[in-house]
Amino acid sequence: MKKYPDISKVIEKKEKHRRSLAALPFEEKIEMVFKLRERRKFIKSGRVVSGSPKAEKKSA
Amino acid sequence: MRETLKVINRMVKDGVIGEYAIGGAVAAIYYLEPFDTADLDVFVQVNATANDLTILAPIYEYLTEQGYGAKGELIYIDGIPVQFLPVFNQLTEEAVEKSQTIKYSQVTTRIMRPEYLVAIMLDTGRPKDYLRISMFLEQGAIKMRQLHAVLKRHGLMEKWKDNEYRFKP
Repeated sequence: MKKYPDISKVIEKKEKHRRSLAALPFEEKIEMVFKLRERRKFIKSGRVVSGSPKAEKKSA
Repeated sequence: MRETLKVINRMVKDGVIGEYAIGGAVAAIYYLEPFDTADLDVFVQVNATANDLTILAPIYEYLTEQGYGAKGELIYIDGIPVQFLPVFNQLTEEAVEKSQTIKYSQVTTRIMRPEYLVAIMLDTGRPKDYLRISMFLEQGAIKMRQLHAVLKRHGLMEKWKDNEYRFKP
């Protein structure tokens, strides 16, 4: 029988991260929402987002 | 968002709206981790009595006169798209009344309590609402006793029981 890695630690870490995000001050969380919105705009516009392989190729 | 809240507070002072409370996704973010959302939902008590959304007209007039742009039902205040919603049933009315006062960058504002947010989401019942209810339960952000009291008062207990299995972490 094929063996698969146990990722329960990864899931646990993710959960911990979510809780730490939830515990941030409201102002910081709203700031993050604005950043998410900016990212969404970039993705929707179809423009190359810096850090993507295409952008790195271009700047090289 | 600081300026947006200041403008909304000024609307209360000027008598354009009665009490208000932030609801929807932004209110949920106050209790949960941040997630993407399109607008700021502001539930307002308005003095007029009408069955349709014309009761919101004075809000739009007041804000457009001050130079804020409207796009559909949204009005942009300091770059933030704001959706004003009149309290539309006893649940939302009580949610505004029982909202809590918080400070956002030293500006006082009102935000719905988590138990009311969950009750409104259950009542609305879209897939994204159910997903957010799960997030509230998962993070232990609600007091179950208080939630049950709200649900009972507003005839939502049966709907809760029918769907509870979806929300269990």
